Amino acid sequence: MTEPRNHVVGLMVDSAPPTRFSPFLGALARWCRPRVLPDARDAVAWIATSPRVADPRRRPAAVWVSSLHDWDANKPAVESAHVLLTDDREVLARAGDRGVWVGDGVDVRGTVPLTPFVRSRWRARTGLPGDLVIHVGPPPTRVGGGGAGTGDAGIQSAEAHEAIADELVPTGLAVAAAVVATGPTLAAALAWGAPTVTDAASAAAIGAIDGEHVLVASPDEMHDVATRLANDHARGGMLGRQGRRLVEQTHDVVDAAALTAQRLGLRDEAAPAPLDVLSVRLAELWVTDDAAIVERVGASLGLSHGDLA
Amino acid sequence: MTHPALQQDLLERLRRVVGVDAPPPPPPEPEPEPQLDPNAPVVQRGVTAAKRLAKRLMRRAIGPVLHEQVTPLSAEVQRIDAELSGPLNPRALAANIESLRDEVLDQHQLSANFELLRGEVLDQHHLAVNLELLKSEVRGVQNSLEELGRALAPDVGLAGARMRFAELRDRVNTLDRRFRAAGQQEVTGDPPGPPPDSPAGGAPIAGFDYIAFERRFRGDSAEIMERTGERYVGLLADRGPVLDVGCGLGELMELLVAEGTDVIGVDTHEGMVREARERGLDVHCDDAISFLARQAPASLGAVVAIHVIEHLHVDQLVELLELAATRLRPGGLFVAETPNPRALAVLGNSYILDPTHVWPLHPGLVTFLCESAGFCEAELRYYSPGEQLERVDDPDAPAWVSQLNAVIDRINDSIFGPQEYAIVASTKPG
Amino acid sequence: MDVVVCGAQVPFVRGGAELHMENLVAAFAEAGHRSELVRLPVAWERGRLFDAPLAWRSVPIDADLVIATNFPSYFVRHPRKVVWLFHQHRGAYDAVDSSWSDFELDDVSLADQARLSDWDTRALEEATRIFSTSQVVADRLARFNGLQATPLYHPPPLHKRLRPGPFGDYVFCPTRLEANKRPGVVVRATSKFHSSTRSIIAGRGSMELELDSLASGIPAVEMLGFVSDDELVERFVNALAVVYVPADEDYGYVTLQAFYAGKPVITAQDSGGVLEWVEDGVTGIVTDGSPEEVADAVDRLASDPALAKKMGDAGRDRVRSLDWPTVVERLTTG
Repeated sequence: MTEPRNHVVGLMVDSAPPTRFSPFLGALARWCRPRVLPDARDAVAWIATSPRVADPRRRPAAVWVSSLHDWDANKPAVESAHVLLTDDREVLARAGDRGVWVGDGVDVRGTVPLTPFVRSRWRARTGLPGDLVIHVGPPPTRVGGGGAGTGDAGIQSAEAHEAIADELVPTGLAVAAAVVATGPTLAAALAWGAPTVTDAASAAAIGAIDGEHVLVASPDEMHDVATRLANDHARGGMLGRQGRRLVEQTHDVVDAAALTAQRLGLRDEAAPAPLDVLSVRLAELWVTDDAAIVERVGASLGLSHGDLA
Repeated sequence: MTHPALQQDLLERLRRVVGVDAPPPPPPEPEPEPQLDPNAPVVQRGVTAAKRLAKRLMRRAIGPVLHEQVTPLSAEVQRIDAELSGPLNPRALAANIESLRDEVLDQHQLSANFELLRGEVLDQHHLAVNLELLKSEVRGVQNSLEELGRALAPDVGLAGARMRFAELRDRVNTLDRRFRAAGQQEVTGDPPGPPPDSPAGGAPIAGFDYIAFERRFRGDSAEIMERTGERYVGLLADRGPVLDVGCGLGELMELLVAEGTDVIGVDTHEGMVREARERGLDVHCDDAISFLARQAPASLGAVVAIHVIEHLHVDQLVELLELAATRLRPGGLFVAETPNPRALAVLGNSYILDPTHVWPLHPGLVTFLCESAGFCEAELRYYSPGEQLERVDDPDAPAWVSQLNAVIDRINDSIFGPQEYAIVASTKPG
Repeated sequence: MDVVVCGAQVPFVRGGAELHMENLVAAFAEAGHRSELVRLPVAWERGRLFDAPLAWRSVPIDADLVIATNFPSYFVRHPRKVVWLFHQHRGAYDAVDSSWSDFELDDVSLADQARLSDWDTRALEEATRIFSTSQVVADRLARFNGLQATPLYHPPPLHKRLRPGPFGDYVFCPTRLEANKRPGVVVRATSKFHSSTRSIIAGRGSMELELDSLASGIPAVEMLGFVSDDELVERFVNALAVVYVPADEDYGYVTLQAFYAGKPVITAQDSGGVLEWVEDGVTGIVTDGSPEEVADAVDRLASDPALAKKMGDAGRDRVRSLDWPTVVERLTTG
């Protein structure tokens, strides 16, 4: 993307920025040059990772507010802010027009949706069972005891029931034939395009509809529903595809960054340069690993990588 | 390109957690492999295994190239076959392994040697004695070296011997030249000059369109200029005035002008000279030898000839060098870059491609010619290494793989060595 | 209105797909629209697989309606894009294990497969409607990309010239002589005929020599090679029945042509799209695909020509509703 990036944006950063801040800033860098500046010279706008480090005199500013408690403890900075960034629904509600939703901690552009067929190829290559079902998220409360897992993530195929380490969760979500996901993990499962079974509350929290993006079941039935879904590629494929589109619309950090850039006046109205057309086409196809495919495109068009950047 | 979540080690860990015991099936190979029969004699198995390894090696080496090419699948298979009957011929490999095995793995000899070694190592007294003997040998070698140094350079010793030897060589070569010149004058009465019908700078060949040829085969000129600049601008920038022999369109000259260096160019091609002059460069349309002859002695700081000397007959080259040696200031540099025929891939391909190349110039020959011409020192710099064949670096490989690697190293050295070299010769410092 | 039909082009090759696209353009013209065929060359090797899709993304098409047919033409961008899916790049999907597919189980293959699946899905999602040429193609789309397609059937070539005729002493098998069409089964079955029925096989392909030598020992087999349209029609009209046993066929013109000629079809249980038309005992006979069962089916019909006629009539009924105007109507109003 070669939209002009001349605007310098000052960053006010505390020692523990929210985990979502990094991808958000990466997306925002498309329209500006973020810099940490000790004094107020040169910046056309400001971004603070927390109201505690925000300076109310520096305007216009986008301030990240993590919770209502955070808001109440730092009222002056929050009141004077132009844009309020958050991943907390209550803050979003209170922020009204000033709020920008940056999502549930799911890096949509950093995950690749995999269809049931591609998943089955990965399982064949690794030696995993064809009907692999993975459970992630807090165990839903069940009547009569015995949960889907005592830990946060577990695997159930017909016999095995093991807890898996956190760093294996994305791998599991990528290659499982079906996933049981509850709570905040639901968005992550959908981002991977996994055929997913969940409970009503988790689905409602992100706007997922039973039969369209997920299958909703009671805690007792979840595993069986998931096992049946694992063997129904047509249905799983449809749910996986639509579930992914849902999180693309509601959790994409680039949209949040674009909105923020617009509200802070960083986006010039100039038309994109002609060679941007191809970049735009690739972006429409959700191409994220720009280097490889852009090199390929550049090579086939006879343009060097630099021309397309 | 693979997502980090799909790395092999993570997939392995997941599989283990799921509790699947059977090892994962290996990814299927695109070609059928010859099977290893456990009952076959050892050498036969070695041959089969070597074939398999060789195929994989070739696939890895030529794989990226094949991937880009637009050849149908059958043509690709034919190419792999052709490559396999080349240097890594399984039969030749098998023969090597056989003979090496005979020599090295002779069980009887090995165990006998081992016994001897063990006897020696365990004898402390012998060890101490040997150490003393070694020490005195080393002292003896040192003394010999010092004697040699005194012989070459009585006042300075070994350290100054290098310089002194260069001086001696210079004096001998000068005497030689004078003798030759005097001898030729006696016979013909004329000073030796270039043959009248081949101006130094390369004879044009009738009917051969050199411009079109260069356009096709020369390669990306921007890339080439960048490399040439990196190699020589630093060396030449402070050594004005610089004479660029065979300067063409003057691209190297422009790089030097940008550094504030005085540069003159000379080329026999009228069209290129005109273009270069239009760009404000001081270029003359002339052959190098005539031009150099007209320069005042010791007036130039450096003479540079990039991919020129391979277009000259050897006697023309000798004359060019001798002239250059006299026209350069003390401490002046003569720099010439030329294809390296020691790399056989060059000799068999890019060198013979150009019909205006006269003779492959071995670095040894060029060094000798520079020294004979009156330069006191000559240094060789090698560039553009060829694409090396990959060694087999598998820690679990059997022992004979080291022999395979030795073969690969030899092939790399002799065929895919540096594709060009530069000689940097300097006149005696003032 | 102005209709542009988009399809892939394989330079110098002309086959069923080309004929199909041309018939579609002609059908639009007959219905009073202006229509054009736009084709771009396609490469299927993994290293160049995404070149043509990207090319289609940059092509500006000004028309009222765009009909996209096969991979990668459905990557064309247009606000009113209707897809009538002939097939996707089968080498990445249902034919991934065949010898001609270059998709393996290594990292790069799997990444390419994931990208192709994702791009196919997104490109097809842009369509206002997705049709397919058969239920088989629609099933594949659902299984592999999670998308719904509606089957939209069309008449085979020569449908206006095929007509019922006498039931002769041969079974007819017009097909390309390639491995996936399994012509060898027909040749082998002929050697097991108990009746005096002959087999006539028309068509050319890479298996020609192999089949010629196989058939040389079986006098009842006649290999015609290439035949003109006229001869093709005649052979259909005078056949006892048609034998057609391809592996997982997308659609199967041969089946429909047989029905237009009022002949029953003998097929195999894994012949794919053929089974959407051949109902065992009603419009033909479904075997397990072995030469023995095919021979049995032929013998049954040879000894009972009345049955053959009954099934052939039922077949003709099945294709009565096929016509191009209906196709045009569904594509323009869907």
